[in-house]
Amino acid sequence: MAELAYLQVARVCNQRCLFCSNPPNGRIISWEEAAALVDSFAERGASGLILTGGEPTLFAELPRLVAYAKSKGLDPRLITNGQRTAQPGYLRTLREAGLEHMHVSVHSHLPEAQARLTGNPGSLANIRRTLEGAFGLGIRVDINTVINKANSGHLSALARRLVGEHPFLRHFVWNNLDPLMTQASLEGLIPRLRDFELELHRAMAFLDSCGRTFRVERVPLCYMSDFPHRSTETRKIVKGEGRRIFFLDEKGLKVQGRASWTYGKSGSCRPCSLSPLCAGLYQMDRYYSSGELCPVFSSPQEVARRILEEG
Amino acid sequence: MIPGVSLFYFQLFLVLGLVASLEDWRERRIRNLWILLGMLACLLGLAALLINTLLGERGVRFLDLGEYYLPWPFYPKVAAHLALSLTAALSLWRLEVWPAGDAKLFILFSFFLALIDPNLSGFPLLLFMVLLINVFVPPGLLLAAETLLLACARIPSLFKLDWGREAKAAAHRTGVRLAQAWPHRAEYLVLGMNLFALFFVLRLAEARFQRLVLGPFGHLLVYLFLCALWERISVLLRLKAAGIAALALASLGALFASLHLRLDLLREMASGLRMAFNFGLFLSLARGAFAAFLERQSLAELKEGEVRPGLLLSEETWERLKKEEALSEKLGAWYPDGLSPEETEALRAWIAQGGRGAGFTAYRAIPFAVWLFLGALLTPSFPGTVVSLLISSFKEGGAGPSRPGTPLAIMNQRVDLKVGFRCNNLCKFCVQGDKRERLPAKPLEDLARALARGRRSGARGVVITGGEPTLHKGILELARLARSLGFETVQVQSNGRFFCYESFVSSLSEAGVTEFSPSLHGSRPEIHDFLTGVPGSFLQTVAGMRNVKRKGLRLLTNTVITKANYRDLPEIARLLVSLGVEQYQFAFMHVSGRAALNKEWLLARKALVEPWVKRGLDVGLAAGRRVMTEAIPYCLMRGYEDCVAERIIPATIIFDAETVIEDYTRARRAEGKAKGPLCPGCAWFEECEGPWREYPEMFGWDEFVPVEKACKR
Repeated sequence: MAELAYLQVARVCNQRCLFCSNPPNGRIISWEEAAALVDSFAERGASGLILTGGEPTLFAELPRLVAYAKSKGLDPRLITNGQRTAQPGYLRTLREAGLEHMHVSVHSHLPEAQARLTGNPGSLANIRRTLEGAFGLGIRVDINTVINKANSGHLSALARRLVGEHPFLRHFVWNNLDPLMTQASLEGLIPRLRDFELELHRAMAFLDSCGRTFRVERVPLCYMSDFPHRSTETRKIVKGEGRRIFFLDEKGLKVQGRASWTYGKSGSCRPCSLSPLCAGLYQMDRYYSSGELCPVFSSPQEVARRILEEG
Repeated sequence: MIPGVSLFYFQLFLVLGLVASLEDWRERRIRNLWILLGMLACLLGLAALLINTLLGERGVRFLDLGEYYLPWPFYPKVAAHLALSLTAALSLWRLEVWPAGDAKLFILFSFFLALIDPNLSGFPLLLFMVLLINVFVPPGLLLAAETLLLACARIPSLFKLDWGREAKAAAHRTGVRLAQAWPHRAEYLVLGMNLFALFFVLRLAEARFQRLVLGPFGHLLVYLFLCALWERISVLLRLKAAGIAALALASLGALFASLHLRLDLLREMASGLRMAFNFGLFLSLARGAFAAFLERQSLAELKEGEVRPGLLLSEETWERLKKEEALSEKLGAWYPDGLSPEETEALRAWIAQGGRGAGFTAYRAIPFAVWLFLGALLTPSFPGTVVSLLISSFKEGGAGPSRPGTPLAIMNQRVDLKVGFRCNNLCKFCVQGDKRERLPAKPLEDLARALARGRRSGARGVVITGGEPTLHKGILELARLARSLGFETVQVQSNGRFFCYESFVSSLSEAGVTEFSPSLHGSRPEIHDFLTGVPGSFLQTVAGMRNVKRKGLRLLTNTVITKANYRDLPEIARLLVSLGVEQYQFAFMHVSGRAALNKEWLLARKALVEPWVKRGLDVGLAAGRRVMTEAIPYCLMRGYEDCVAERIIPATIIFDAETVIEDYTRARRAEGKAKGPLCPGCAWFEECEGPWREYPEMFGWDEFVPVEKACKR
């Protein structure tokens, strides 16, 4: 089973995202622990290493860790909010250490919305600097977006704006909001599936039409319109992939396999022909309502075929 | 086909209108006798209709009025229309804009209009306004034509003018006028504010009564109308109290609009402001031109022989003459249709006694009754507004006005007979709610009465439906009865499961059923059965469809579009074509009844559905079948506009559970469907019914993008 390894290096952050699913607890990994984990991931033959947090750029020895992972044969990737990386010098250091690929979190193309969601008025401006800087240094950048009530009305505009202004962006990751450990419920940020169904479809159709790729996480297939083969969970189910995550909190090292890609299923899922390929509804009937699920009768073989064809 | 009653009243209106016009032309008076006769005829007609409506409920025929039948809800509308016309005419008379005779004639004509065609646009609330505006159209056209002719004749003399001096004089005059206006600036401010309030309210009214959008031509007509009455109205508009009232009204309107219409208020306000400004410009220019034109036309001197009834003196002349001792008693109020016989007499006597007739301004005038008559003639001849007439005739290249989507309520083409609400399916999108448990099958006698009534209202076809009509014990007898009453088509709208019994299909056909209309909601059992809630229903329905076709009978189907089956539409279409259906329809789910309970998950987004619907239609079009969609607005049917079912749904009278819907088209448009804030800008605004209103209530309007005029097919 191919595995992707996730390593949280710092649970501190320079933004205050309302929907943060790994909120700050003040811990920063020690160099020894980080190096040991990288060693163990490399030994297990992980297919890649994703450095995350918190905000991983706040881990002082990040460039060194990038170089170390690289030396162990793991291609390190970074998931960052794109604030510290806005400093050209810092980004160059990372590039020189061997960083070739990073994910930047953008939740809205509207400065006010992005500022409100991240608690940082300068967020979007810094992200633009990061994107252009990374392009200049030849670092591949993918976009991560958390789908929430505040951006559910303009997901397609976000995609259009980003692709229009930064045509070098090739890949997008849409994550439906994870309500656990967040203050999102208090802020009324948890979307209903209906809220973003059409906009997500428009965003996906746009990205598909201009040759970009994308993944969508925590959205059941009945809300994936014509793109069920783009669901992160479905792809992992079809390809039998897992992931290994080191949480910098009491959870410690977790291995996610087939069982982790199974959320809630309701009566509507019984007749659904895509159900065997669908993870179901995350946090069903706690934060997301099973009353929105609708059976789909399209061919699961077709979905699997498309996923395997893309590899 | 024009119903006899309409024709009769139209002819009567023509005769009375001609008589009154002629009389007003020759004698400058309108006899009360004609008005009384006309009113009497109208009242008698209304009474006869009322008796027919009363007895029609019981299935008895009193007077044979042909296809003309006024349903109950029309009587209060007629009353409202009459009350409004009466108020308008009385106000104009009290304001001394119209003489009493013309006011009476106006009321008579609007009564006639209500009887000639109770389906005119704007009826009942705005029809009187349309009539008022239309009255000003013929004089406007005449004036334009005359001006044009005069201008043509004068072109040579234009070259001889000293343009520099003319321009200087004009500038001087403007300067003097501006200087004169300065002391009245407060008044002008109030006037400006009032005009703004007036136009703002007009804009809001247009937004509310979307059927009567005035458009650029309409605004021009409103300007003309205001201009014509300017002397009187401007007095009102200059009053501060009226200003406060107008502003209060405008704010109330704005409040209402923001609560109920979801309008962009700022835009409407800007639009109102622009209209007020335009009107200011229009007023100065048009009145300037009008005055100049009349000056040239006027007689400089009053001569005894030329003073005759109907001669129009300028207001200024009138004021001067009224100051003459011999005349002050005898001249009444100034009216825009000239001298009355008494006034003529007095004026002649005054000139004969040596009164100086020089330096006066007088015009020849066509009596007002003529304009009233022509305006009233315009209104039913070109239903909708005059504006829609102008625009549509431009667009169609003069093909003449059409009136899409508003068939005569009084002439139903189809009866929709719901025989009971029991059903052997349990569809998740059913709109009938708990009627299936609550209501028994209707007794055959009631159904027979309904059929007879429907037939009387002009229907030629009947749709037997429910619930599931094949569960009704009397269905065969009902079909026979329908045919014996003269219905040409009898359709059974069913879930199609009982059609799987071959002998039953034969019996229906022998009893007179001409069309079989089952519903199929999936191309595979798991989809159809999931939606109908009955395992095995797919097999029975498809077998039933095969039976119908094997007997060579006409087969039409309906498919409800839901989130669970929209991707299956092309497959469904392929199955339907292979089964040999003559026609199939995709109807978008209507959130009502049980469908409302399932709306959170079963209602699909129209924008997502659109490509699949079109692919489904392509299958039938390629196979040469008739294909349709229902409840999908034109903006989502680009390239497939001919498939919009609402274009051809016949006027229908529905016998529902406990009520009768006399005019389903009207009810569906007025209550069932809705239009969005951008819809008035769409090329299909008139024809389109919009989505069922529950849809935008859930999802808003951003999927519905107005179609550019140039893109209309």
